[in-house]
Amino acid sequence: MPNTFERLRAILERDYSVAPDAVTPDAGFESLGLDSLGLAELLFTIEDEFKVTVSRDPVELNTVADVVGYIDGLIAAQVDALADANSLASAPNLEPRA
Amino acid sequence: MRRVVITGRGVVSPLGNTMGEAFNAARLGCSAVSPLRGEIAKRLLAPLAATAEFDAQTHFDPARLRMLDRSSQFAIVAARSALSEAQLEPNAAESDRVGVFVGTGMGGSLSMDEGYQTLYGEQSDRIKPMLVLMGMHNASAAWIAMEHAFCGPSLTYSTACSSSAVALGEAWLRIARGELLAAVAGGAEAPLSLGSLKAWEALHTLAKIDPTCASASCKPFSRDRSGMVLGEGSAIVVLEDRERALARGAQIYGELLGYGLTTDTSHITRPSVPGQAAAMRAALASAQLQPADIDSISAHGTGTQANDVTETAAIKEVFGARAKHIPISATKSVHGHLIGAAGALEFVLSIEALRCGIALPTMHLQTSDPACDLDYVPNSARPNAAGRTMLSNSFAFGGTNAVLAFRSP
Repeated sequence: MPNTFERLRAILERDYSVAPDAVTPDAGFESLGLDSLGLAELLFTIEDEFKVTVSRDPVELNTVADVVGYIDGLIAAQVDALADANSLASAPNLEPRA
Repeated sequence: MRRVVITGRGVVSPLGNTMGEAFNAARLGCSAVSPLRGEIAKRLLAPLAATAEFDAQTHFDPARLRMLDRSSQFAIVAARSALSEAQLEPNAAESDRVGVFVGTGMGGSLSMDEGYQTLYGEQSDRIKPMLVLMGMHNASAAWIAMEHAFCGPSLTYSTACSSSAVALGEAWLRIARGELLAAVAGGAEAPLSLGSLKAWEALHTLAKIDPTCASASCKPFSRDRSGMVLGEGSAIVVLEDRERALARGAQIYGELLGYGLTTDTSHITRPSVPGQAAAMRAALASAQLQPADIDSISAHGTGTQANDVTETAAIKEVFGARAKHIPISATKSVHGHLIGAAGALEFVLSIEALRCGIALPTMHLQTSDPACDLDYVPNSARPNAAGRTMLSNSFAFGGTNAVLAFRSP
């Protein structure tokens, strides 16, 4: 399965006609032809493609590596939240009986 | 006042996406009205429209396309055609004296309709990030100005069905007063969403489907008319100071002579004979013309009961006994009602009709309404070689009556 970087590179090629060779970890989005509007739209697409929810708080995302790290962080947080939910569900019921 | 000429024309329309195609279809009376198909048709009492055949992907890259409502796509492409024909090419010092004036009644309503479907239909809280930019009424004017680096006023007029006539008139004023050297002016509309169609249907303004020929469903001035048919598209012209156009050897397609604008204050939808007549008189005065100077008229001619009777009476009031001898064309019979783009499309078709020495036909007019007793050029184009000067009427809900006066070069 392609990793986050590869999937992001494919989105940039598909939606913004960015040449795959230009998508490097250090590449800035301005240099790839995405301004702030383009980045806002990209985050919307990322939510769809990676099944994550982007924070409504401002996030500093300048380079491809920034976005890859951000997506991976969101996915990891989701995995942690799911694990917590599962452990709560399987924990013994310690509520005192009435 | 400076003289103002037309040096470029562009269309995206139900009749075709070049001036030649659109004019020939209007001349021959080839109706673009047809039944709508698919899910949308099931929700409408009379699923009819005049749609434009338009492949947006051939005109825009994917990233830009996702920012553009269909109406803006139409406007940008029509403006490119007009500017390509005009070869205007202002230098850097002139660019802030070139403006963009676009009329639209419903702006990006198609995109907004899709947004509402997401929000209310799908119960999703995730709206496309570009929706504000797609929905805003001034998007078309803004994109045209940006694409061509025209730094003068970029203005949008929304006066329902007279929007683009107002845009043309306001552009004319600024060039005539010497404020601008040139302007890209016209209108754009893409109203064929379920929401818009249902809204117009609810007003009881839309035509019933003609049982024998659906494409003949819009019948201006006919006794059996039943309403209007919505259409989509854009028509844009380059208006230019005549001296500048002559100095650079530009081809001149016509001259915009004047513009009349009045407001009915009696009712939000019902047209008024005095208001329409006053707008025609104002256009004549603005153009320094007399009623006797007018050789033909492009009617607003929607095919609704109220408009056609009122417009006929208003023309009679202005032109008196001579009204019966003026060819009057209602081309909405073939291209439908483009709402905010209607006046501009009718203007460019009329300019071409003058150049070709004909009066365009009003189609599907077998028997006139007894209250509509003028010469509507029924069912086939007519030679009008002596015709030099025209009026084009655009009357709107909200009461904004706009009339353009123009002549062949």
